[in-house]
Amino acid sequence: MHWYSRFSRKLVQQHRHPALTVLRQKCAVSYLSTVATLPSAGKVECYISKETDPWINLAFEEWLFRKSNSARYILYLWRNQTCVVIGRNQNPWKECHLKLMQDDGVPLVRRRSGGGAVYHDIGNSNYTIFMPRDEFDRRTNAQLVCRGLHQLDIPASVNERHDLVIGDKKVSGSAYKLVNARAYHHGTMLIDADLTALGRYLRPPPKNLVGKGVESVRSNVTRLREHSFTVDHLSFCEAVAGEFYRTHGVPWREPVELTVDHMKANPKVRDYYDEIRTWEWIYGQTPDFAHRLERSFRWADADILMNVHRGMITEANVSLKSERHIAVASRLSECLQGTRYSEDGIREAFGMLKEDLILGTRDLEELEELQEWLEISL
Amino acid sequence: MFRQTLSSTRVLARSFRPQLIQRTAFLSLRGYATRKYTPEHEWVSVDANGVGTVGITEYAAKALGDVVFVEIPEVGTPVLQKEQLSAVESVKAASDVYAPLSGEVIEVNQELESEPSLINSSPFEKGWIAKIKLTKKEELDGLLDEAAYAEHIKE
Repeated sequence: MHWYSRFSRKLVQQHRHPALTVLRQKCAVSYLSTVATLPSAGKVECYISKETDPWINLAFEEWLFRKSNSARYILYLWRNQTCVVIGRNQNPWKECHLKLMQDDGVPLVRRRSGGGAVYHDIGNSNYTIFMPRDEFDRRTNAQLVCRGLHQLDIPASVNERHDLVIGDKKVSGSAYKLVNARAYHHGTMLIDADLTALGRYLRPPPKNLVGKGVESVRSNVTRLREHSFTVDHLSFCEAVAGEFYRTHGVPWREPVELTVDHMKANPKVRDYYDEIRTWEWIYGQTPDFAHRLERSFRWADADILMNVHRGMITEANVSLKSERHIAVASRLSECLQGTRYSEDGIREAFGMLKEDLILGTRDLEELEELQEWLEISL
Repeated sequence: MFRQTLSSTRVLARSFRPQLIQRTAFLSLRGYATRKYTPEHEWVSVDANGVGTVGITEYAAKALGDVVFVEIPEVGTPVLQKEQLSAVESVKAASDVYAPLSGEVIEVNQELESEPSLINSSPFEKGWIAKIKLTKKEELDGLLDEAAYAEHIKE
């Protein structure tokens, strides 16, 4: 079924949950007062992406954000294939289980807004509301989406972190971006996402990793599916769009569909896409951190400290606490410097080391062991 | 010299006014003398050597809420007016900071790395972000003065 044929159907309000009445009152807006200061209908737009590539969808978002510098209100609805999305100033090595993600082929994505790490899959829907910066406030749009959920008979409310919860469990995380005179508020919505996968990827193994940057706030989560048998991506989009139009006092209009053709036709979208797919953006934008690794091998005790700036090892201090390994340790420290903090970087450094020093079979075996441990410890 | 002017203002003010009013009067006096603003809520204060100290305004800091991270620019970076200089994050909101004037970053406030909340507690003083050696001083004329900025945020 084509999605917008469902949009045209009129939403039937049902009041099965008594709790909903109270929640509705909490999120209610006075439509009369809103209407008085309403932007004209021309200033309200709605888009929906038909793509599920996370980078394409974020590129559309950036394009919608940058393209108009006016007083427009825009709603953008989208969903992604399985991926983990971290906040603008987060450390992926600290926030998610990169090894597991790599094994499962789950990509890591860095978004431009603040906040913590979130899990996406096709059972999770996302909304973005663009507005003039002066109108930005964290609660207003959370309440708008909340009213959308009430339309679907889901007893959601907005918590003190401006996330949407059902009871005390989170169903939607939000984040914001402010640039010049524009702002956006975006958020996830767990409809029937795989919560086991969510827990797996967002629970990283413990590491001795110290750095600045923004840490995720862990929350118990639930899904809309637990509260509604029928809710899906389309009915969610329909409810939020309906509420968006209603809040801005404009009649229903079909949202504009965004497809990969839009990207082909707009070189800017392509630029935004290319930029966020680079290693320099995804990993290189990590705030400075230090990683200390210790392990006892049969042949020596290893103690390694690496300082990382923009994803590159800027300083490494390798100590192997054994006379026989002094040369190896000091040369390895030098080789690690200036390489990427990644498996490839480590491999490169060990490659250099092996070329530089004349090593016996025993040394090589030990180095092999050290390299393997370092690679899996990042 | 600047410091001296400051302290003499403060002494004067202290002798005439009760504590609270004195502080406000002192701040705005100094603002009139040195600080310029962008409509996007950055401030710059230019010294006699053509070095502009840049930060974000109290109004912006309040609107953002508790700042938890500041992306500090690198010394030696050339910047153009209205180009991104830095970025701050506060309670899930990422906000770009633009260079109010063109020049080269010659000093950065490393304190913000360990204490980003200085942006909230002292936006015009300890919360400065970078010092820029200006290359186009004429750009200064295009910025807002205290009164114009106050008018701008009232809108």
